[in-house]
Amino acid sequence: MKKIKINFILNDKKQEMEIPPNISLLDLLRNHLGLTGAKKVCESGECGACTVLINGKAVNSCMVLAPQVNGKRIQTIEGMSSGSSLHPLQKAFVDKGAVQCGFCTPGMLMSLKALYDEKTKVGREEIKRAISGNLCRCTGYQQIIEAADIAFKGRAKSDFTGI
Amino acid sequence: MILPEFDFVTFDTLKETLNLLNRHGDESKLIAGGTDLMIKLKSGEATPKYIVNLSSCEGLNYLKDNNGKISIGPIVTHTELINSSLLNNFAPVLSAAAGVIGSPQIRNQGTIGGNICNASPSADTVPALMVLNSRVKIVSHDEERWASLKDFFLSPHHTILKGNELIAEIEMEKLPEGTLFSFQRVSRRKSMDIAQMSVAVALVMDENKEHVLEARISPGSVTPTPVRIHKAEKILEGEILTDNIIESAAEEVSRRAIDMTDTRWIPEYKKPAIKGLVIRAIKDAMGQRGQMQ
Repeated sequence: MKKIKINFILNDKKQEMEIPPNISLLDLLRNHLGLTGAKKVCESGECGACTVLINGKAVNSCMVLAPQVNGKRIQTIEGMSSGSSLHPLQKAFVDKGAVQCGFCTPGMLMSLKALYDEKTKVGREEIKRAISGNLCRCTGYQQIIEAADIAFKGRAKSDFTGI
Repeated sequence: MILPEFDFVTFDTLKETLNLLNRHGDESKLIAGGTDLMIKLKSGEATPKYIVNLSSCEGLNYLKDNNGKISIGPIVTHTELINSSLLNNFAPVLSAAAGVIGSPQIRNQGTIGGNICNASPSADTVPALMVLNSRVKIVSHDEERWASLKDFFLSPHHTILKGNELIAEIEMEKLPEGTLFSFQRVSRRKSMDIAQMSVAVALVMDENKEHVLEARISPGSVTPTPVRIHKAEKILEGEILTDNIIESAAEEVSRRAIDMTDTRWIPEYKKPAIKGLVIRAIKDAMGQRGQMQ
């Protein structure tokens, strides 16, 4: 089995690595890059706990073969805040108590970030659709949806006043 | 999770890809989105010597109007099918079918070519493609052939595709303006579930939108390979769709599907369920008449 050289952008930083081809993107992040924010749960693309963004789109990193990310832009939960200041979605999650055990949180936030980066005005139905591939076993969906709603509304307001 | 060992191969051109398949096709697996292949690698069901990457191969990623037909490259994702204005205008049944697949994450990754080639009886895009009379362009290093979609599948998870071949294009009819479509599906929950049954319907209407000129009905998940139910279609054609006529066509779909059944079936519940689903699909299609210009 030949190792393979890949280049990609990870959270705005260039990465060049030589990797075995038979690993998932999730294993690449967790075991080779030490980024354990994306969680390993179902390993079959059903729970969404390993969600990351590839070229701005939410995907299950357990279902992506690592060599496929060559030339792509990857965003993970580790790149979501800027320094110590939280992303508005993260702040709303904290303020609204949208985190219970926390295991689904990185995946939920990445799915919502894809929507946040794509659209400005977003209703509750769209929020629900965006997280329809993310399971929360604490069943804290209501708080998660409310937190996202607040983050989106907050932005619509600040956009309106030009802040 | 440990995956079997393989070499990962990427080419920029279709020619190089097909040359490799010519030499090593039988010990290779193609990858585009990978959402089906990853499951098979993890379970040990697939142990290829080579994984051939199609996602950066040129000439496979397009969705275009092609002289009255719609042509789609095999690595177009389900999300792209959902967002395509060409499909939303002329083949909304395909966008609707793509829209119920898996989850946003799976739809961002999974491709139309993969959905077809995996050949699952529950593939959501397939009934939609069947009512659009789709055909696929199959290419190898030295041959090009077209197959209608109905002839592409041999049995669940088996197709006519040989080891050295791949699907290079999916082509479908653009039905006349004013054609009514519906895609309906039953699953235990909305997201992350495979269809227990589905049905795609297309109704070409006369000028007054009263009589059905041509009907096309294709159920999914209830037959071993995709079919159109011509006997049921004939019941609708030439008619004004009353409740009685809709019901007898739906009855016929259910009866025909039961005849083709295999042991996975539980006819007691599926028989009325598929009938109900067909009624729902036809009525949903009819309901769009008011929204048209």
